[in-house]
Amino acid sequence: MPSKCPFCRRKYTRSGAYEKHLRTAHAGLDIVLASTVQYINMESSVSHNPDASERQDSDCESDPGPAGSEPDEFCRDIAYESDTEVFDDATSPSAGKQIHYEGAGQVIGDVDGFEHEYSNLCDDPWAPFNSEQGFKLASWFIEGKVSKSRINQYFSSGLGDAESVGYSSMHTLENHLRLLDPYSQYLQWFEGQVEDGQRTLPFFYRNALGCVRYLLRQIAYRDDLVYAPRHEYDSTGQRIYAEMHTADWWWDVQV
Amino acid sequence: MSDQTNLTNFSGDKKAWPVYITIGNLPSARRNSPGSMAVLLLALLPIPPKLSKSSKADQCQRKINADTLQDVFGLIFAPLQDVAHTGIAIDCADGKVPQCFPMLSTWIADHMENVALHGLKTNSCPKCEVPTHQLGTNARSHRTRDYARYQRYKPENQNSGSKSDDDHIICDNLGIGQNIFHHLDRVSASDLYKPDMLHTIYLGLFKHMMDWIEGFLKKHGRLQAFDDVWKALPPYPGFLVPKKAYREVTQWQGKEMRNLGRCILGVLAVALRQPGGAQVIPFKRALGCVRALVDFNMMAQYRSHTSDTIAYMEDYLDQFHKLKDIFLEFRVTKRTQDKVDKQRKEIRRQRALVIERVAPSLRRRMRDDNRQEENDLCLDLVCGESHFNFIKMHLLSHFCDHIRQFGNILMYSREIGELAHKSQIKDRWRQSNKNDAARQIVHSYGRQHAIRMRLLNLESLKCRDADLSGDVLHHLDRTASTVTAAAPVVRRRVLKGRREDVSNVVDFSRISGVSLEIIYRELIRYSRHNLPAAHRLPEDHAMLRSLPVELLTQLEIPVLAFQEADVYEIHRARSTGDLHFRNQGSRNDWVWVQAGTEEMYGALRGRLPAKLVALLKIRDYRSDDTVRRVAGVQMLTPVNSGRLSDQHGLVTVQMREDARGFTIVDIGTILGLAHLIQEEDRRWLINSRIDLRTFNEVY
Repeated sequence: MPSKCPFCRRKYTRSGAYEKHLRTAHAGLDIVLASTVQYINMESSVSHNPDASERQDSDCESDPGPAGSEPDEFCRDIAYESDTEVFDDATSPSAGKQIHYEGAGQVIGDVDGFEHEYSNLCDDPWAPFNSEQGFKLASWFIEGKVSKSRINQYFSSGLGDAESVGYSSMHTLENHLRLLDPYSQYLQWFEGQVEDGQRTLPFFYRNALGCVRYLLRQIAYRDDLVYAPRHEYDSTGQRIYAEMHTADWWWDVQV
Repeated sequence: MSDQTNLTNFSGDKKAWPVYITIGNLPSARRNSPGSMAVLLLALLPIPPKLSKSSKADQCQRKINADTLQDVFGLIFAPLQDVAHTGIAIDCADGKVPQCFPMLSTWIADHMENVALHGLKTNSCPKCEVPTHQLGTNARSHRTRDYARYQRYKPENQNSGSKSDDDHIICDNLGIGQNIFHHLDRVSASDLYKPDMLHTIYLGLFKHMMDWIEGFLKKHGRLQAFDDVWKALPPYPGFLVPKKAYREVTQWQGKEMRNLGRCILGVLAVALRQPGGAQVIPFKRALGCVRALVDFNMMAQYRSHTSDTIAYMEDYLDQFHKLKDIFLEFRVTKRTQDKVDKQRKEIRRQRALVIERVAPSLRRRMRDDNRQEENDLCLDLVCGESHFNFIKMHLLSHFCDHIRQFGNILMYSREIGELAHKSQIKDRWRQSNKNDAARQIVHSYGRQHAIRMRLLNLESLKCRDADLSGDVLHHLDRTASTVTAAAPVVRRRVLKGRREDVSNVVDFSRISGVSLEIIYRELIRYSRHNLPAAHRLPEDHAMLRSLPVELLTQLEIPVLAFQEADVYEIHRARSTGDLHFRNQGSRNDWVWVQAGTEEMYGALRGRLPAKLVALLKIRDYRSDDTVRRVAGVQMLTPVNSGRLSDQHGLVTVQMREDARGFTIVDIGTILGLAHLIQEEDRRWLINSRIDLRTFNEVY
């Protein structure tokens, strides 16, 4: 399936050419780092607008986002403008007021395709790598902080068996790694500009909500997650204040 | 639902300003362990340029910086803002989709960043409206800051000439710029601040306190004594034995300060022993003050609190504030010092005029009187000018309320952020080509993160016995140690390090210098007291001599970690006799021995410290080859029947002349390592502040 550029009408079949196009033709735009290609491969249409991706509902994977937004509109969204924001005092929370969160923590449904994903992970634990060896080698490269040129050298000098590991250069390895994390679209990086009168500096940020979604979605944390506050008592019946969910604040905001 | 964010600068010429995010739904132990990958980098910001003070252009620039900051954070928080009222459905790992209200609950940063982000002046508390001159008092009733009001207040400020008292307070504390958290829906900005052990206590009050103590010791001529004790501290698990004298250490960091907090009370108590007549009262007060602060610090480290422990903390803090005046004269600023010098000069000049007219025979006496008077006057001036009104002093008063509201304090420590820096920023920076580094930093960590996250997920599947293929399990087993440090649970005491040169009791007697008679007597006593009648050791000396004996050098004791049900720390007690341990002298550690019932020995509750002399395995071939594992110890006895001293709150123990120098006990009765500080030749202080466990058990 050819990848369609979200900002213009070009289509690309090879990921390298596509990336180069993104880098050069839309250099001034948001550079959605790391996960761009993967995101596009999974769905044919793409949303790069942070607002749009928030508007999507829970199931980002199966629900295609709105079509790509106009480049200039997007720029306006994240570019820094020093005097546009005026804060309305009437809506700001006052310190003493109690606010309750209606229905917080209430279960309103099941995750689509959850069982499927679960069994996929069991059946093919090393996907997208085609073998355990492929994964282990990649892990060794990355954890050992082997440089890009060294990795390429490793394959070009015939030290590694590209057939059995499934990749033959840093470039193809990177493509595998992008697909490794199924939720990496939550962790996209956005780039913004800060202007302080003298210089213009880039800064990078992620969608905070995406980070929360990402963490809540990890199977690794499943058994530890706490969804509601509770009171704990010790053997003599005294209230224990230990973790956050045993203390008062959580009770105040979520009842 | 809550988010926790963490932010710091990392030093060096190149700086970055990372902001991290994690979720409060994970229990703190899991969230904060570096292997869990639960701390995500949320943003990487450039550092605002540093400005000189007070020029007009800079003032303007500063305003721009503040606005910029405001907008950048507005952008970052925007996604949370949108869902604050309606909530949002989030897929969770248990396959359910609950309605969630993600909100910012905590902002962990050091004080300077906190005030910058809250738009306050440096010397003001982000949580309450405490006036500067009351920072050093223990009042806890100040009004919570209402940042919304500050926002409204700003425009009025410029045109109205008259100010109420209320406005004065606001004016005093407000810096340039707005509170960046103020406009966030459903977030109360004054709740975001979290007390931080590292900066408030270790690098804050302990550091100040050491300055005072140094001044205090100098005044009373005990500096040398302090250094001597400091250098001679015995080892303890997790405690770094100081190798230099206190005054020789030039750099004090968090780790050193924490170490210091664990032993300072004992060291000071020994350094201030046997006060002279006029010193009794000041010494007592100084020790009381240090004791209160150290105890407060110990309590603050508890992982779980009850209302009792919180009440204790409040008591300690009150005590500290009550006694801190003893150190007031050592909080001298340069300005005060100048004033003192000036005053001293003035007095001397006047005296010189007077003294010329006095008969020479009286001069000497008069000079002494004058000197005394002069010193008193200076001291008065110093005490009048100095104060304890600095911000870290005040921040302590929020600790107790914080525990009731947000749980234990340790989990909000800044140190988590330091760990995240290491792997997510600093290592990446080294790998980058230093040009356009920020982009490379954010890029390259993603790869490692993906790999580790997959391993963690697989690991968790393994724990749930999902059907994974054999090679996966095999791989996980091997990588487990690198990703999640799962310590094997050992619950048995283990003897290690056999010495080759001992094969029976006679050899042992020769090596240890304990006479054979005593060994026989003790072995027999041991077997009569501890062993069932059928399995006693032979009482015939010749038979005892024939039993094979092994002498060992190390005993591993699993000790249940404080306030945990299944986490064990391993104490390694060593007894190398006269052999050297790691080329640094022999080690014969202090251990706790269960010697009686709970009610005995006062605060020690039936346990006595003892010096480990030997670890022995005796094979009794007569009764089924059973192996008796015993330890030879030198028991100490408590002075004053184990009551806490009212000066320093520690128990003194001594080695009695008439007591048996060598006792044999079962290694099952050895409970763990003890930390003793030598006071005199045969007297020691039990340092119960060495860790939370000892602190909790000995009082």
